[in-house]
Amino acid sequence: MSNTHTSFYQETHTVFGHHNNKFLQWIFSIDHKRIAIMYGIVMFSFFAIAVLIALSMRLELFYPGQQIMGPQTYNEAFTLHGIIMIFIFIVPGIPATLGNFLLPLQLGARDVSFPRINLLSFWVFVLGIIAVLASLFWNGNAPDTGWTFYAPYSTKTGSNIVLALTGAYLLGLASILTGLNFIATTHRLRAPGMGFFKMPLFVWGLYATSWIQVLATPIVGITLILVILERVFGVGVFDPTKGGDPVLLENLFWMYSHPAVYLMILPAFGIASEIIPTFCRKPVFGYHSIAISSALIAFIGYMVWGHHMFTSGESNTVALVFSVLTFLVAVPTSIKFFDWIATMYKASIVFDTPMLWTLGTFITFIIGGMTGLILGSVGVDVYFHDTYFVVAHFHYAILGGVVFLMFAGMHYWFPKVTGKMYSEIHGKIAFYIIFVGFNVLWFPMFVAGALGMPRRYFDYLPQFTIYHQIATIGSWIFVFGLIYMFVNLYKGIKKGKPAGPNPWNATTLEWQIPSPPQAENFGTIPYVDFMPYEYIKGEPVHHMDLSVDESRKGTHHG
Amino acid sequence: MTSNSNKNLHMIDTTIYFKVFGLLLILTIVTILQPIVFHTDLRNTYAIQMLISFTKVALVVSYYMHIKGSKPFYKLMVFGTTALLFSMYVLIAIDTYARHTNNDIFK
Amino acid sequence: MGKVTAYEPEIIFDKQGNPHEVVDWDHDYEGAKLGFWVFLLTEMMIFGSLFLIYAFYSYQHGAQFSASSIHMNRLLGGTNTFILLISTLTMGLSLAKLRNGHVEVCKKYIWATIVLAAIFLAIKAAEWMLEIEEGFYPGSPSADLAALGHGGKLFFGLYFTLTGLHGVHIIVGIGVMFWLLSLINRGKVSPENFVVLENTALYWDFVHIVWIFVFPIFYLIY
Repeated sequence: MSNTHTSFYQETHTVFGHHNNKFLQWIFSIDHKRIAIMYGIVMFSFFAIAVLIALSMRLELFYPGQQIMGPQTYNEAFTLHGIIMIFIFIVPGIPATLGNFLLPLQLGARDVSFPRINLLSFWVFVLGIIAVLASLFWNGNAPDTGWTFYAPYSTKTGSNIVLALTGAYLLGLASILTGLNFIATTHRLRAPGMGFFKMPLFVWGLYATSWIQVLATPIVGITLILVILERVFGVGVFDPTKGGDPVLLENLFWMYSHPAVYLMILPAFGIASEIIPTFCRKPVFGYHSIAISSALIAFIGYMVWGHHMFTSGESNTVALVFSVLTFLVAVPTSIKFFDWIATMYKASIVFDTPMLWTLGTFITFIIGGMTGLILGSVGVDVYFHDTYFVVAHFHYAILGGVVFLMFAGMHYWFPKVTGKMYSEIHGKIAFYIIFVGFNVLWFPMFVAGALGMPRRYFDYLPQFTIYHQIATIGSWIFVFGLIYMFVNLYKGIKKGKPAGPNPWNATTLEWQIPSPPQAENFGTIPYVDFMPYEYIKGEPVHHMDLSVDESRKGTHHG
Repeated sequence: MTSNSNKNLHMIDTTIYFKVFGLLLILTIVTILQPIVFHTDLRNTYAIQMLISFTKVALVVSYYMHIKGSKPFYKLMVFGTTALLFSMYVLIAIDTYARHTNNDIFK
Repeated sequence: MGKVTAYEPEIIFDKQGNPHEVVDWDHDYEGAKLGFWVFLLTEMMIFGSLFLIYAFYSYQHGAQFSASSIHMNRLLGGTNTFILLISTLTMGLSLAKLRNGHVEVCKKYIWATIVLAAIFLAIKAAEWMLEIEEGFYPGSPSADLAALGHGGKLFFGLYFTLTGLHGVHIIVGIGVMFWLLSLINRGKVSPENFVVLENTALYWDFVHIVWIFVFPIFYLIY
């Protein structure tokens, strides 16, 4: 059935007047769907760069001793890898791409509350990236402090910290603007009848995330301004020779950076909550507990930051307090997992690519989460801190949790965004290659770390060689899988079969409009007096055609 | 409920603005005079000054920023953020009190 | 902003036939207020973190903080406190006047706020120059500062950082007020459409709140 609707790719609203040039129509567009795509293109370009950096690091580490890069370059490599992956890729991550695209659609709205601020957040994001890139080449060394820029090294080192931190500040500002927008949108633009407890769970994930973006990011913002002030004006807040305390910087840094990881995982959990009921074709088990657990994770997650500092000289008293709170924050996450598994119980499960990714993530994220509890035990952490055990833990959690679910979401909403379908068989093959490569790459690091291999070291003792070699081979399998996956998706865009409005037979509002959506999103906004994920005998209860009737086009908003 | 609620305008009574201004003025004078008229040690000075400051802030937030007449959600946002900051202060305070002192567990 | 002559809200109907208004992102007074309050929360977190740093160091260097406070200029700082207090009154009155339909009086009150804010900045700048002349600034070689030890260095480092950041907020506020005046003159802000002024008043109240804390912790702990 051919798609006779005009999509948002063909018409859009812009700032600074009307533009004839297609490029300007994109970069000046205030349509949340276009902004989402622009974010996605920039983010994944830099993801690729960061992956290449990681590959070169793993290549250096194949043998002990120096091969392709010396220690200074290695330090710059993992710093840049971390800055890109964290600030440029995973923090904007799901909210800036899938969130921007889907939030208004899932709420039954025509856009976010502040579309111009949405576009501004994208430009600020790009500006931040330019500043970070400039710090690599401007008149000195690239930053080499690690993405965590601990003092006193960050206040004393000769590398371009001020530029890099300015970039990080701008990237944080972009994140705050997105969060602010999503909070207002969720409160104000829900379709009539849709109370908070009738919203899709992806929205709940984005909403909880937005509060973290808004309340936690300013803390790191002011912290890096203070580091800049210290470098430029000699304000001695973190300098021991002036009475300052480097551990205070660690405290302030992690006060943001720990909630930041919840900001990463909550939208990802939201994606899982969308995919599971769709591919099990039954209502999600425990909707309310999943929704509330998102809020709980966000709330408790503010109070566990000290578990990054068990060995940094904080008091034993507060270390124990943080350890207890860390164990506590695992509880709401487990509630979600129980709910998802309960949803799958006695369901007729369709094992298409999005479901495969979600289930694969359950395995890898549980490993990441449980090793987090191991690290959250103070006595054990004294031994494991700053080893490869930590590196493996957070890659299992962030890469094997957030990114894998992002891939799941990409495959799930691919037909909605592009109007086409990718090859299902190649999607599955890509998943298995990536899954195998991922575990070959990261699992040996748990062992190496437990045996004492330190992190951020460009060289190592000979007894660790075998683990590094297995990991490096794993990295090649993993990257091959990534390329395979992206080629499959690209081919889907170019030559995929038309997908229709609802290829997965899903229930949420975005599936009741054409693929790709029209510029106005909806013709008629529905009155929502039903829960999401309502299935009876495997079929959605509500079928709606909410498309804009283009034979009677009215006037648009200015 | 219309989203464009300017239709429900009523005349603003500015009396409350002046009353609060008067209170803030008095409190400001008190705060400046305190170290002169009633000098005390640093801890007590901080306590008195912060008490006055928080009172002034409560007045500004409630009346000038209209939190008093606002929907409960605004009150939740402001109190929630204050509580969040407070929890951070408490955790840092625990660490500061215990770090490298005899108050720590397992010294 | 688009030139919408008469805004007509979109109405939809539920199964019982009851009408419901769909909120339009471009005409959402509540949304504008909510969004601005969320922004103010981010500012709370910024200044809250700075006050945390102050509290942390004050606990460790109380005596030196107190000794440093003696060197603060209470005449200038106190004057600024009163100026800022009056400016919040003028800002609040400007909003009341606009909502009551007195547009010209509203503009006069905004001008008054701008003038007061500018005077605040001038006095602050003068104060900074005095302190720098006397050698009480980060990195100063002065013996007076050295006599105050680590606490003194931290005290003045935090003083310049906090008052500097506060000053930046005042500068931005003045810019916003000029923009507001232009919006009023163009009819974009009016007794029917005043959320931008309302949010500016909230912003100005917040700037005042920051000073309510900054003033005693630097000037009055001597």
